Amino acid sequence: MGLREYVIRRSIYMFLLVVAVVCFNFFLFRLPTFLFGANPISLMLSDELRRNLTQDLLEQMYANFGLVMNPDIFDWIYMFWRYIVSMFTGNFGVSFLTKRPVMDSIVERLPNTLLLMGTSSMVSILLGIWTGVKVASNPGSKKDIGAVTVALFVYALPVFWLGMMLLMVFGYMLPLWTETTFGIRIGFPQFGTISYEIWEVARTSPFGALIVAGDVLHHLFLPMITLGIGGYGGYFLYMRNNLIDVMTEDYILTARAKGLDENQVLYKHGMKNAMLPMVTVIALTFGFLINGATLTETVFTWRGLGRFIFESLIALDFPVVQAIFMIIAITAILANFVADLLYGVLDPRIKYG
Amino acid sequence: MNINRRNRLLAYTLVTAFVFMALSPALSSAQPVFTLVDLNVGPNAEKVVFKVIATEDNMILAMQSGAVDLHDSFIEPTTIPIFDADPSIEVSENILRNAYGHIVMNNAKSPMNWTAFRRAFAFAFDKTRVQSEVFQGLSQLHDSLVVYTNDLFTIEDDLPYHYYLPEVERGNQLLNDSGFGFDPVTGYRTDPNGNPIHIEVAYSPSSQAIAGGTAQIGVDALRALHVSAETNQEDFNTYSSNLDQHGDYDMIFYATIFYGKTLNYLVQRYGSEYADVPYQNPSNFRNETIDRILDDIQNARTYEEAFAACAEFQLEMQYLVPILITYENFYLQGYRTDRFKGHLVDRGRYLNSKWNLQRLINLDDSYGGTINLRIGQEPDTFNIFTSNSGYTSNIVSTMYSLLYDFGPDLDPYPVLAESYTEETHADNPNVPAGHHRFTFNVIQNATWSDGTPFTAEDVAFTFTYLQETLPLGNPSGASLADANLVAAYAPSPYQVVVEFGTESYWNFGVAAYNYIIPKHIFEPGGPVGYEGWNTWNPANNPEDPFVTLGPYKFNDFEAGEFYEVTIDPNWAYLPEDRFATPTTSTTPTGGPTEPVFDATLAIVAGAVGAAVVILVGGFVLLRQK
Repeated sequence: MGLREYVIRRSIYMFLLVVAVVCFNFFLFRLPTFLFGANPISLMLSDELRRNLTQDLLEQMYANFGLVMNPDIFDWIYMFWRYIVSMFTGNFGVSFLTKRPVMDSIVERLPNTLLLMGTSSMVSILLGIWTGVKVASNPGSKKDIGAVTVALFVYALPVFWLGMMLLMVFGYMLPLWTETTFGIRIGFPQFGTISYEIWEVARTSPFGALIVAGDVLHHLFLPMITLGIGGYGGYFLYMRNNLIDVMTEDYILTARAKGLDENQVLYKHGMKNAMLPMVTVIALTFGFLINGATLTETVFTWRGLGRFIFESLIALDFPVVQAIFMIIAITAILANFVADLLYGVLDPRIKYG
Repeated sequence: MNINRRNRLLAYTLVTAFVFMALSPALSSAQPVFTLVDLNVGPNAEKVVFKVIATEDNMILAMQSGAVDLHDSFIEPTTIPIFDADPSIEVSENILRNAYGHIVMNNAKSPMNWTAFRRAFAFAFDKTRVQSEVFQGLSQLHDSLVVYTNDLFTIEDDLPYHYYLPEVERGNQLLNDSGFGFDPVTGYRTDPNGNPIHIEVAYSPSSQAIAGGTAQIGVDALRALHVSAETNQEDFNTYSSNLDQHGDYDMIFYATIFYGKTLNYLVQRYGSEYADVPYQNPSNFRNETIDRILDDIQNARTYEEAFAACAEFQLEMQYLVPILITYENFYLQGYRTDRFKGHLVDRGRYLNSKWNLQRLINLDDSYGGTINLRIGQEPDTFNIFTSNSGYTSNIVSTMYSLLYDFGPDLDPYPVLAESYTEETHADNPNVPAGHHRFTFNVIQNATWSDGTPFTAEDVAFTFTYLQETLPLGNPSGASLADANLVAAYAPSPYQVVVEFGTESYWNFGVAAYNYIIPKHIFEPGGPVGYEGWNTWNPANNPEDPFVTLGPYKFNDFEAGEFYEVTIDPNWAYLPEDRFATPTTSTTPTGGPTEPVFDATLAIVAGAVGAAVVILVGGFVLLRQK
C-alpha cells in the first residue's frame, strides 16, 4: 500500500474519530446535568428576574436556548440528534453567556490565542532545543546536571505562580522603581492585550495600526515568557535524551573517524537525526494551540480561548464548549496526521503500508 | 474674685460651645446631604472607561499603579493593609452592604423540617465569631430576613430576642424537649423518629475565607448540638441547581443581594405554593401563617399596611428560622484619592454607582478627566432585556434612565420624572374600582443621544413594549403582568399615565423602575421593533442602533479589554457652566502621565524583531554547516 492508500485510510479513521469525539462531548458537558441536575438557566436568572418568573416565561427561556425543562428520554434523543446535525453543519448556535453566535465569540478570541500560544511555543521549543543540544554533547557533566535540574525545577513550577511573580516584578515593582529613580516608567502592562491609553492615541494617529501592534507585543511579552519558560523543560529533556541516544550510533563514530570537527558531528549529523521525534512533538504542540492557556490568560487577563473555555464550562455554556472542543479535536487529529506524514518526508526509511 | 472666676468660666464655656457648634459639621462624619438637584447634576468627568481586569490580584496591582481609580467588587478584609500602605488609596469601610450572608436550610428534609431543630441551630450558631474571625469586625450582627439597610421595613432593632451570641445549652435543651435522642453507638443525635442525622453544609470554594469560614462555624454549632456535620465544597452550578430545582441538599451557605427596599419578592421566596416551583422558594419552606402574612404583604395598599405585615413576617420568621442569617457585612471598596474627589456612599451600588460616576470631579474642581473603573468580566450584551450580567449593568446604568432610580439611600430618586401623583377609586371616582393610577410629570428638556426630543410618549411606549414583548419571551414585562397593567398613555407631551388593575403599595416600583427606551427605535416598523427585542445587540453589532438617554453615552470599545462612555452633551442635568468654562484635557491630573512614545514599547518591539532575525539567521547558518 502506498502513500495514497495510507492517506485515504487515515482520512476515514480520522472522520470516525471526530464523530466519536463529538458524540462523547455531548455527554461529557452534560455530566453535571445528569449527575447533579445542574442547569445553565440557573446562571442566567438574576435575582430580579426570579421574582417575576412565571412558568410560561421559564418554558420560553428554555426553548429560546434550545433546552427542555424536565426532559424525558425522547427529549434527550431529540437534543442529541439536533446537536449532531448542528456540529456537522457548522451551525454552532448562540452562546448562553454572550448571547451572540458562537463562532463570532470564538473568532474574536482566536487571534489572541494563536499569538500567545504560537510565540510561547516557539520560545519553549527553541529554548528547549538549544539548551538540549548544548548539554547533550557532554552528558553527566556539571553543565548537563545543572541544566537538567534547572529545567525540571522550572517545569515543575505552577505556571500561574510564575506568571504572578513576573507580573509583580516586571509589571509593578520595576515601573515603580524606575519611576522613582529615573522619573520614567519602564516595565510591562499588568493586564489585557492592549492599553486604553495607547489605544486612545492610536485611534487618531496615522500610525495607529503600528502603535497598536507594538502595544500588543508589549502586552504579550510577560505571558509569552511565562508560558515559554514554564514549558521549555519538556522539549529540553526530549531533545537532550534523543541526542544522547543518537550520539552513540555508528554513523556518528564514522563521522568522527572521517575527521569532522565536533560541532559538525553534533549539529549536522547528530541534531538532524535527533530532531525526527521532535517533529511529532512539535506538530502536536501546534495542533493544540487553540486550547489556549487558561491559567496564564486569567493571570494576565489575556482575552484568549483558554479563559473563554473555562468561563463557558463554569457557566455550562454548551454551545461554546461543544464548538471549541470539536475544533480542538479536529485540529489535534489533523496535527497528528500531519506529523505522521512529515515523519515520512523527513526520514526516507519510513514507508507507508 | 470667685465671681470673676465664675464669670470667666461661663464665658469660656459659651465660647467653646459656640466654636463647637460652628465646627462640628466639619468634624462629623455625616454623609453629604444631597437635594433633588444635586444627584442628577453632572457628569463632571469627561469619560468613564470600564477596564476588564479578571483577577483580584491584578485589580490590586492596577489600583496601586494608578491604572484604575475605582473597582467594582468588594475586597476581603485581609486586603485592607495593602491599600492602606498607599497614601493615595482609601478603603471605604462604612458602607453597610444591602445584602447578607445566610445558611439556607432544606425545610423539606429531616431534621431541618423540625422548627425546634432550626431554632436550636440558630441558638447554637455564634454570629460574633463570623464578625470577628471572618470579617475582622467589618460586619454587623443581624437576624431579620429583611436586611438592615432597608430602614423602611426592617425591625431588627425591635426583635424581642436575637441569635447573636451562642446559646448552646438552650439549643440542646430545645432538641431534648423535642425528642431528639442520641445514637448509643456514635453518640450523635437522632431525629425524633430515631433516624440518624448527618448534615453537610455546602459552600462555594470561590470564597474560601468568607464562605468556608462561615460554613465551618455552622458545622461547629451543629457539633456543639451533638449533630454529626461537615462542610462540603460545591461548585456554584451544583448548589444553585440544588436550590433552584429543590434538590437533595441539607444546608447551603451563600449571600443574597437586594436592590432597593421593595419586599414583594417575599411571596415567591417563602410562600408554600412556591415550595415545589423551580427557581422559587429555595428553602422549601411551608407555613400557613406565613402564607397569610405574605398575602397581606402582597395586597398592602399603603406603607402602613405593608410595614405592619412585614413586621409581623419578621417576628414570625425570627421564631421559625427557615434560613439563618449569618452576617451583614460592610462593603469594602478601594478608591484612589489623587485624581478625583466627591465619592458618595451609595448603599445600593457602592462607589461604582452611576451617582458617583456623575459626581466625581477633579481635585481642583475643574471639569473633565477620565474615570478608570475596573470590572471583573467583560459585559455579556448591551441589550437591556437579555443581559443578566452585573458588569453590564455597571455600564448600562450610566447610559439609560428611569422615571425614578434608587438613590444612594435606596429610596426612590426622581430622574426622568419631576413628580407624580397616585390615585385609587377612593381618591378619584374616574379611576375604576380596584385600579391604581399613577400620573408622572416628566422633565421637559431632555434629548435622546441621537438628538430626538424625549417626551412622555417614550415612557408610555416603554410600558407598551414590555407588555407586547412578554409573550415573545421578554422577561422585563413580567412584573407589569403581575401587577396587571391595564393602560399606559401620554395625555400630553410631558405627562404619562400608568394604570394597574390592582391596588398595591408595590405598584409604584413596578411603574417607576424601568429603563425608558426610545419609541422611534423600538416601535413596530422601527429599527428594532417587537421581534428584535432579543436579537438587538448594540455595540457588538454595529448596525444595531444604540440610542440612550443618560449622563453618558456609549462611545467606543475594544471587546473584552475596555469600554468607553463619554459625556452626553444632550443630558438634561448638565451643570450650566459645563461647557462654558474650559475643561481639563482628558489626560488625568495628578497621576502618572502616559507618554505618547513609550520607551519600553520601542525596546520590546526592537528586541522581538532582533530575536527573530537572530534565530532565523542562526538556523540558516546551522544548515550551511
